[in-house]
Amino acid sequence: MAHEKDPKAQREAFERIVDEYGEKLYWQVRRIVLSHDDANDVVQTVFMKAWTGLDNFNQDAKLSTWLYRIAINESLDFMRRKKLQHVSMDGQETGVASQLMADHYFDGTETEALLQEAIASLPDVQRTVFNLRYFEEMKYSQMSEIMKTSEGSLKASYHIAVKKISEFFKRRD
Amino acid sequence: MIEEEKILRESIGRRNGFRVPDGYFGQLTVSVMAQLPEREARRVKLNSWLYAAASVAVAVLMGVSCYLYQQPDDEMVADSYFEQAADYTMIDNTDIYACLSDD
Repeated sequence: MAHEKDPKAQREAFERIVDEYGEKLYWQVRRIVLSHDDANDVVQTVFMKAWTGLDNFNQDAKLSTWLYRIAINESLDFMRRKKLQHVSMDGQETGVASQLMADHYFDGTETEALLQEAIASLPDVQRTVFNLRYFEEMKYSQMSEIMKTSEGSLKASYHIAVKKISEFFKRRD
Repeated sequence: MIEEEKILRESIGRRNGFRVPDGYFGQLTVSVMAQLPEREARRVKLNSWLYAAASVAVAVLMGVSCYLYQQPDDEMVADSYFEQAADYTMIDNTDIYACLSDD
């Protein structure tokens, strides 16, 4: 004995999910991968993985948490594959700030570009936590669900990230 | 908020400077949905134990139905048996009625 799930209804429901979460996920991805074209590619991949992984989604979990987790993991995987040049904290020249200032889809100041360079130099967890806390002001409880890490560890990661970034700017002054 | 964070917020702020092409988010859903493969109608098999239990239940019901259908009627059994008994004893109906009237 078997029963069918209507593919058309599933597609319509997923379209509503993309409508609701598309922009939020894009900005989360963009803050990690930096370039618009890369962010667009990663977002497409994120939703493709969500679509093909729908059957594995635990209905008891929050959909937003699940989507955020896919987006963060895909973004970090993308960066590892792309192997962007990272700033080293001893002040050596890197490419991130220069690339951003030349990017058509970046209209920030040089200071803002340098901030992105400092963030890009952080280890994955610190970078992710800093982006979520500093720019999105996400609660640690929500972050803990997304990253499956204790709130205490996340707070520690954030404090370390903030100190590293502060030191980066002090060295440049 | 730690002191360093306060300084960052006051000196740099939370603006990240990233921009997107005009109308990008308006067409994001369309572009995402266009590249998604069609999902086949998913046939979900019940747990094999449940399937076995259902099969047994159907078989039992069918067996009971057949048994009840094949059971001869009690009255028909009684009449058939009586006729056989009468033939065996070579008693005809006249003798039977006479015997009954004596009571």
